[in-house]
Amino acid sequence: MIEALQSGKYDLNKTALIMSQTGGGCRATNYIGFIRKALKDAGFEHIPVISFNIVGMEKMPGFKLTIPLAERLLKMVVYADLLQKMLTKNRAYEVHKGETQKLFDNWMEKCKKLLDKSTNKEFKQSIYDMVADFEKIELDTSVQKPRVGIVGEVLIKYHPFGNNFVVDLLEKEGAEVILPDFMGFAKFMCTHKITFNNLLNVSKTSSKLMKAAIKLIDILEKDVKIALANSKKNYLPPCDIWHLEEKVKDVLSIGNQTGEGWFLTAEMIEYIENDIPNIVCVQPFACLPNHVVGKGVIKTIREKYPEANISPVDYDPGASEANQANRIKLLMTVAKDNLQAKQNSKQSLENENKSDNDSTRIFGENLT
Amino acid sequence: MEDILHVGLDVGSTTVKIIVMDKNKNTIYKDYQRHFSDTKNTVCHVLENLLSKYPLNSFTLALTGSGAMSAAKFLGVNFIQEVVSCKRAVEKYIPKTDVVIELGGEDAKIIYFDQSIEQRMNGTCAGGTGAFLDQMASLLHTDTAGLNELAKGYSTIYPIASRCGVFAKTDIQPLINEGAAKEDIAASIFQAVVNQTISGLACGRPIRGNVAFLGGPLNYLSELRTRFIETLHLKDDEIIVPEEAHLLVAKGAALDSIHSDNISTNELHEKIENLKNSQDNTTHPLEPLFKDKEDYQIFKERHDKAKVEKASLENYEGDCYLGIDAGSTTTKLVLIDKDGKLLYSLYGSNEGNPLKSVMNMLKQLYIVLPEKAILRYSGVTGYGEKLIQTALHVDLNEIETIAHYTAAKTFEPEVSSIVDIGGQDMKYIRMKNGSIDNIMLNEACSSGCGSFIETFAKSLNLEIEDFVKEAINSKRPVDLGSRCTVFMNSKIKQAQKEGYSVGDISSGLSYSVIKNAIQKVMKVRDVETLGKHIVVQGGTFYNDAVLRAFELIVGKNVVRPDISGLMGAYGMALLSKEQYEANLDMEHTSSILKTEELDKLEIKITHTRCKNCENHCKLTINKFSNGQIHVSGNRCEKGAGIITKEKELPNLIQYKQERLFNYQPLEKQFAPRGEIGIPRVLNMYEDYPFWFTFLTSLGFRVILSEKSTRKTYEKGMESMPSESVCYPAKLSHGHIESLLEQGITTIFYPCMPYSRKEYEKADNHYNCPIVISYSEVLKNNVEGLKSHHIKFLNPFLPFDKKNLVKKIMELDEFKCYNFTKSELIDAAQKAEAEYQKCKKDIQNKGAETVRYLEENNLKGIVLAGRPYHVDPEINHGIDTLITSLGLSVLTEDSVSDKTEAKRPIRVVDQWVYHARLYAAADFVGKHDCLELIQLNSFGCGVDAVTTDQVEEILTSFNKMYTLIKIDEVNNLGAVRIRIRSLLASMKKREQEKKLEKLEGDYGIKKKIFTKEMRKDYTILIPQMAPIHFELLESAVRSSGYHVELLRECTRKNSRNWIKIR
Repeated sequence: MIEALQSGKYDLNKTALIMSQTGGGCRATNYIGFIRKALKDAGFEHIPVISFNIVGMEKMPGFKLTIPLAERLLKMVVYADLLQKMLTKNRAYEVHKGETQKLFDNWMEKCKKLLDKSTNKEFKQSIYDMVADFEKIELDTSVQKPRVGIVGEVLIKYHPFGNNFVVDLLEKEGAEVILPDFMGFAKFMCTHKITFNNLLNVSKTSSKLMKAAIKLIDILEKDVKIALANSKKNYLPPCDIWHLEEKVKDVLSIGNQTGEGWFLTAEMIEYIENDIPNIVCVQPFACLPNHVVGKGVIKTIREKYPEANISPVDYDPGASEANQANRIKLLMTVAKDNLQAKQNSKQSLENENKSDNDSTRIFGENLT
Repeated sequence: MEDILHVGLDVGSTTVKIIVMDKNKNTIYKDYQRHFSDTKNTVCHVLENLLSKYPLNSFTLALTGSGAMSAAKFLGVNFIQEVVSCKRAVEKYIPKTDVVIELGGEDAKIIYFDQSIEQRMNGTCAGGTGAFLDQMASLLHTDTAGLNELAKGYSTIYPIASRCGVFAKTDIQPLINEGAAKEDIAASIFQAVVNQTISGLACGRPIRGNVAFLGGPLNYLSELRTRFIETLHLKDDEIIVPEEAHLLVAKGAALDSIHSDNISTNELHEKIENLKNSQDNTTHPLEPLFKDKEDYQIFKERHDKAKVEKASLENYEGDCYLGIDAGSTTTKLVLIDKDGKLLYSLYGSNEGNPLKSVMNMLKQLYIVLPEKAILRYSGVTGYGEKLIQTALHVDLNEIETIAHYTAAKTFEPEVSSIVDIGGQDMKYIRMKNGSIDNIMLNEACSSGCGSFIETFAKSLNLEIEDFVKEAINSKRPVDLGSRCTVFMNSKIKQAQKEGYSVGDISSGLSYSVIKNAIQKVMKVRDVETLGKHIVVQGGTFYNDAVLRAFELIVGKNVVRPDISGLMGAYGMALLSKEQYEANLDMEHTSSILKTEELDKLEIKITHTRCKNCENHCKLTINKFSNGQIHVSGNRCEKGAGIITKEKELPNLIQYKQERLFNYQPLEKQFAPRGEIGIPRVLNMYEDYPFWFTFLTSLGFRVILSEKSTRKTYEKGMESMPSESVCYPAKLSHGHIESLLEQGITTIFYPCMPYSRKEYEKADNHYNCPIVISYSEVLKNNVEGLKSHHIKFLNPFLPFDKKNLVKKIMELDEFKCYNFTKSELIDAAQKAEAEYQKCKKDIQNKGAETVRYLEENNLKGIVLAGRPYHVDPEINHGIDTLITSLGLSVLTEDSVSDKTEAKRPIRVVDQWVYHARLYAAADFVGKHDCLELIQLNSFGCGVDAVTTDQVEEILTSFNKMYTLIKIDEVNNLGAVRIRIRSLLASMKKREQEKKLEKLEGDYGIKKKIFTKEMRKDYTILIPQMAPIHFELLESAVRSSGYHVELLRECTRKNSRNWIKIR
């Protein structure tokens, strides 16, 4: 950001910065402090920094989270999550290289326009249209790829620079990559006040408010769920936060809310139960919550789900990229071996049952 | 058509291995060749042999190994990771393996075969590899096989530094000189490799179960294996030495190749031709050091200006001052006149005996010292300063950082960094506002030092001067990378083959030494942090090529004094002069021993164990004939017998430990609800009085886990899931084990998301994420809790009475105790009262101490950290180190109640323990008798936030800020230097008294984004998630803001991002 300010591209007397703030007991809440220091050190003290958060910290009169803006943002997340799913799934198996990316770019522009102006009906319809459009992309599923899910610190997992292009690396190694929905994280954030009220009797009103928010998100996502369920491409549907919360309780308390909190653990469980047994857990250096909810639970998860193939990978400026690559390649080797073993046993089972040897059917099943 | 054969090729750092298997996976052919850095042709050769042997078959082929990547690329065949091929082979041939130890020519690996395979390997250090063994063998004029033969007949093992070949050499040379048996030295070298592998690679992860030994050295050197087996206490059935261990990885590659495409003989022929004709220039030349002769001339002239003024000693009359720098390998002596001009200097190796070498130099000085020159004052610094001061009656001693700084300042008054590179030592001193901000020493690696250049010049039969001259004229310095200098030997050989000249290599080496120094020792990621005014010194910088390389890499001109190698001694001479002038005793002459006294001096050395604490340090006692005694080897100053002489200074760390945990549990017969264990960890250093009282009141006998020691840490090592978590958290695993050892069956360790709010204006009152829920990690990872069916109570609990009681009544895990509401209320009340009382006691003690310091004109240090930093295993006894230096120690919470930080502060102030730091810093700022040192556990993410803020507060009061990072390694050496540097600066500041007191204006006025701004301001959004933020930009824009997403995220600024996280 500082570099951008120094670039001379912007009128520094007419420029502001915006930063997201999570508001939990995690460092992420403090990034804004870092930015302020960096601005001060670089001589840009006069540049205002706007905090973007949902808990009402650092109010700025010029920037307000109004209801129309909030609605746009929620819709934006729905679109982005869906686009992300369409992209990674189809790109992994597309017959005509580059077709998915093209359609993706196309839809990106459409979504931008729809965000600017659309009725609820148009919004709904666009979701079905998008899934239908991607459905037309021809896939080659004759060779099944191991499915690898990514979990971890919320910034690192989406940002290719933060994770040294882990998605590209995995795809190059022959994986189908699954990136988590951002909306899941948003829903998880909404559960905070509810949980703390249940556990520590903190505040009842905000608890009720958040419950309503989750309901609202669920309504927004309803069409996504239907559209995905009608697809033959076996996408991972949006998560049911309450179901996950129930699931995770065996491993750790839902009081673990700092950072990605129990949601990180829950995502791992969600993946495994949806036949994505291979998981890369990305963690930036000195990210404290992940010691607890990431690396800290892997042992228990492996006990509960022996098929789980989880590899924690540390990303920090000093970490050697060779080590990161090594870990990922190892994960992939194990993933491929496991997949092979599974297919072999399935094959022999099929042969025993003397059912018709329709190979397409086998693949269809493996994909589920 | 013949069968398909499966071929695996392992291209290692020194050899190429090939394995051929038939369709039944039986090995039918194998070969093994050294490649002498010419991997390309060796691979071609090996493959051609293969073809001539099997002209009619077709193949599947895979390459593996550290040198295989580019060969595989040109051959167009599969490259597989070494660890993967190792896994393949281990699963097939030695499936019972739990751990693989594999040593190669230039690499060392440990692979753990667990549910998830984990590989640890050496990155850039040669310690513990075949190359290390080769180097050490040559010292004994033999090869590694000879070393093995020798080791068979050993009787004693000597400690040899295993971390670095250069250090090991330093250890071995005296052994050879003293005539130690070659057999013993050989075995000791092997043991050093074992130690390096276990401590350096495994890093604490236990090596147990069935251990397989792979790789060349372990295959051929039986004695090396023996050393491993003995050290790891392996039983016979746990040792796996597979046949042809050195070929195992190649076998794995062959196995892995089975699934790849067939290659016909013709195709393979073609592929080999492709590889042969490939031009893979791995080495791109670097920028030449100098563009042309003129460039060098300008450089030369610029540096010639950095000269100290000199005067002749011969007929000198008047006052003069002596400075001595007794380094760990060299001794320097400098004499200056009353104007600071250099009169005389000496420089030499100390031959392993600093005292003797100083005495010799003094005698030399006395011979040439004119009668009318009066030696007024003398000073000593460096590694042996205390010993020499005591033995030789030197007037003054000072910490070396200050001596170097004093000298550097005369050349560059605004010096921001001092980089000192010697033969095998280096240090980096970073200055900030005229005081020492940080210091880095090379402790385990000498790759950034000069000795390698000299050794290499010698091996080419060149004088170092000529070697440097060649470098200066070099037009294309070879890029030798920044790995251990031991590895460079092979790169150099390759470079020579590719036609690089001696000068290209010499200049390339200069680059590498500097890169190593900056990356490995100084650990500088951004050269800008060195500041604008850099002074370089130390013997190595006499080398113009190295000097120039440094300037090119940091991108700015630096100052190299002409007395670069004497700076410590010169600074000490200046300090002596200063001190003499400050004393105002003009009649004083130096008390340093004269020639005849030196002749008479006798030294008796005895060894003993200190009995003053549990550490029982090994002490070396030097008794001098003049009655003086010097003790060394003591970790704290108790051993030196200083503490007992003086009245004990207040040490609130000690007080707090006592106050927190000194509670008497109920006797068994009075504890109807039985025993309950509490681990002495993390927030229990805050909350123990509360929970002890609470549970005792409910009728539990509360058992506390042991006091932390290194052993406690080791006990819990196995269950730690994360290497990078802070040491206090790691320690907690051992505390749980300790409770289990005591036979405890119920453990109470709740998760506490919040602490009590102490400052009304603070943003929030969280605990840090680790404090909140580390007990979850324990629950999920400590095996004993499950296998012993321990009742592990770790619910999320609030601390306020009403909600706590309500919660405990509700929770299932407490149902079995049948608590009544009234007893819970009663217990909670008592607990809160005791908690408050304990807190009050500490605060009162703080007030009392500050008063005491002010009344007695003493100084105190607030050792500011988290509550658990009072654990002596976590702070490594820094508190006693401070009191031994004559200062009192306070804790952050003993003063944090007495003031409040001015809010709003810049950071989001949401953690209670941290809010105390800000208040304590504010308090220290306002009190002349106090200074603050912040302790920071390595790996603490939230401290990235607090350290800057604490520094801002202190700086606003014009106070020094000292940050000490602590982890599990107990290394007080550098810490001692830091604290002494702080003391020296304190003293200096007091003398100068010129600094005005600043008011402490550290509050921040947040720039507000107003409604008006909304109209025409551009708002920049940092890129965080490419898909989502692309849409976010549109969504926000549609709502009427001029936002712009910073798409052009370069690698550099994303790195900056990660850095601050």
